Amino acid sequence: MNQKILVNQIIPFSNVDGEGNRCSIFVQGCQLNCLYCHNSETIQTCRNCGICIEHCPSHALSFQSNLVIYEESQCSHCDTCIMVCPYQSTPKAKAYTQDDLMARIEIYRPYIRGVTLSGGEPTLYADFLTGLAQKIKKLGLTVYIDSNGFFDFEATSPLINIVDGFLLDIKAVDNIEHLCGIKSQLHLKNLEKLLGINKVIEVRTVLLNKHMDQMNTLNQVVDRLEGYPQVPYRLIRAHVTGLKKVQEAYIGEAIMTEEEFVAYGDYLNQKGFHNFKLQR
Amino acid sequence: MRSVLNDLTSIASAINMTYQQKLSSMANIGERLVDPRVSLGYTDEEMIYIENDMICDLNEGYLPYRPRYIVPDYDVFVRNGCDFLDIKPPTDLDTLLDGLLILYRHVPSITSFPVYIGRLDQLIDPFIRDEASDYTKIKRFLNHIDKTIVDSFCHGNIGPSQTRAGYLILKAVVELQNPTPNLTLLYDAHLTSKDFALEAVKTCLLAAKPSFSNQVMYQKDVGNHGIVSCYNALPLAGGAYTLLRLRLGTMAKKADSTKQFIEDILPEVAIKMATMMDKRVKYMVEQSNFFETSFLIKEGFISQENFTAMFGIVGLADAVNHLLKLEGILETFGQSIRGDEIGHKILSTLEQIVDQHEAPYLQRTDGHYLLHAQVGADLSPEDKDNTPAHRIKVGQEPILPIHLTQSASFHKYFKSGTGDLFAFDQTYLDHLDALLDIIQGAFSEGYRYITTYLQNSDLIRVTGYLVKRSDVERFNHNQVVLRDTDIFGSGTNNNANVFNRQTRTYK
Ligand code: SF4
Ligand code: SF4
Repeated sequence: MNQKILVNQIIPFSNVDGEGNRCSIFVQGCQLNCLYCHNSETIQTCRNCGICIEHCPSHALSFQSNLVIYEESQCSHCDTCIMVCPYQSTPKAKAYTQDDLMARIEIYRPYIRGVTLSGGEPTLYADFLTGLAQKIKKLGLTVYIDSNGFFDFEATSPLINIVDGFLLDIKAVDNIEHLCGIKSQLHLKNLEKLLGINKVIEVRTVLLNKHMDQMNTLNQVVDRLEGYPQVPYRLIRAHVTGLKKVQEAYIGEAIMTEEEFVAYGDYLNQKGFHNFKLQR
Repeated sequence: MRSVLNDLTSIASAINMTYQQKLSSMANIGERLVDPRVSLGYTDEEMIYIENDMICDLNEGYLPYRPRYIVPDYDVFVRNGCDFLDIKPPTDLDTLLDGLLILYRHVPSITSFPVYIGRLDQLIDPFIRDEASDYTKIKRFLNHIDKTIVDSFCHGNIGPSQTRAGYLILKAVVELQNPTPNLTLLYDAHLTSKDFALEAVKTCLLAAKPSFSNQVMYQKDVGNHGIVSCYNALPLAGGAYTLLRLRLGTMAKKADSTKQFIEDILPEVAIKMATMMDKRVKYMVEQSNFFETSFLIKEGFISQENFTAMFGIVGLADAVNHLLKLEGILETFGQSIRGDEIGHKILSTLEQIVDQHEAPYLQRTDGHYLLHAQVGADLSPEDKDNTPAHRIKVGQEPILPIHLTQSASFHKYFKSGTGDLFAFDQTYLDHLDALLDIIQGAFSEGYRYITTYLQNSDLIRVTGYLVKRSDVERFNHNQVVLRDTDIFGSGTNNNANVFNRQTRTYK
């Protein structure tokens, strides 16, 4: 199979994308556009507009037959290109076949427990990743999907069946359109279905004031987690680091103080829900 | 290297050494005033290689009156006490710890400090009665060692199985933040519980020890052993007579091709080193009377039959880099397939040479020296061109997974010890299981020994032993510091830039 997908980056060893040491593969492309997205350059694919080329201080970018070409060996990883891109993209994403990705994973295999497919939104590439996941599983590794929750369950079922589980975002409920630009409650339905077949590794919510229905989101998640004591809920405090200037200008004042954030943990405790982690 | 009388004068009046450091330095200088051609029968041909820095004798003296490293079986003390020192067998934790501290004073070594202080958890655990008060005693015991055995080559072992004493030791290590004693967990996935392993991982991030040793692999290669000094695996109730090392980096500078290096220079110098080692061993066994006089022998703590000797190397990276250059390849060791090939060719050739050499008084290891990946504990300027062991030069390291696999392939040669160390960032403290995955992966790839620490801590691994960053800085400003290893730390950092090893971070 020579089909390729665009990959934003591969992190050989990650300790925050599920249990143990894992390789994380970040695909390029996401159908949402969340206000606090701190890697918004993964959202769109590059339009080859060329704007970033002249800003690169290391001459790592160039035009070749109307395509922006990235020369990794020249790159100083200053991320200027990402900063100046007006289209939430990066010139540094690379196309990989399944075999290319497997070759990388093989190198990391002895030291990792599994691979986490992240993004971007991995379910956008469900077919490709189903094949990849089959190959990864053959190595005796686990496969997790880090997803925003908005996917067609039936159409995605081959991927769902082959992987070990999901790290699932429930970003908001009532305010999801304002926060992420999508008008749908599919994420909650998918959470229920995934819980029903024992495929949820962890649920995550990023907390921010003002732009989301914090309490409601927490309640909705916790209600659904009742009866699944093995599934932890991770609350993550939104931060300004990694945000673009425009994002920061818009949501900067809505970033919670640590006290405000911790209060949500207290709330969960009062509610009698204790299996949560706070990521300050 | 031979010394001159003037060396004594400069040590006597040095401004940055303690009394104790001066005493042992002057004794060592005295031992190197004699001519080894006379005392040991070194030939002129052999001497050439010491004088041109291709062979480093680590300043072992020329009247070797005790083995370099001694690995006593301290169980003997628990069973019998010590006749010579007139101590009864311990009856409780107090008499055990007290007795051990006394014994340590009487275990010789190249530095005069004991390099092995036993499997501490196994020694202590049977005497644990009340964890709270026993903890205080263990902590005091460890602190006593740090302040009196002022040499971080002093090494204790724990594991493989978890014990209450094991946990108490780890707890004390974190609280004390002392460089000494060095500590190793003898890790065996079948015997070491996950919980104890994770506790050790956490301790290692917080206090730069314990390191992890591949107990299964060492048990197979060396039999019953202790991890001593930096990370040397040596037979229990025995030890190592001597350790000399080839400076491969220096040797390669004389080569005009890879072939000539491997076929001519390497065998020529290696055989000279082996014959010098033979002479040292013979002197110790036949002339020094150590084995006739030491109470450690008489009372069964050690026996001459359990001694081996270590055939060390340094500077593989430098040698390979030089040979790559000669081959016109613009790559460096650690990120070069050809470089790895050359490295393996050098070491497999050396392995053959060492395995063919019949050495005297080496029953325990079938009459052969054991290869050792030495880490340059030396102040000599020549060590600038000789990166420790088979390590990749700081600044030329590939990303972590590739670094691990590259280095793992070289561990097999070094039966008497090698190890690598990696600095990790703070995030791993919350994800100990991730770090344990890396350690287990390294072992499955053939690692013998691995150490981790947090890059920003004051306690730092130099090449195998620990120093306090602040102590090294003090020494560099000409102030007196407690440990001889702080002084080595200063020299090694100036030579190898080890304080700036790549930190492994999650982005
Ligand atoms: S990365 Fe952005 S700025 Fe650069 S060419 Fe692509 S779309 Fe244009
Ligand atoms: S990160 Fe982007 S702008 Fe910076 S050097 Fe690399 S390609 Fe150029």
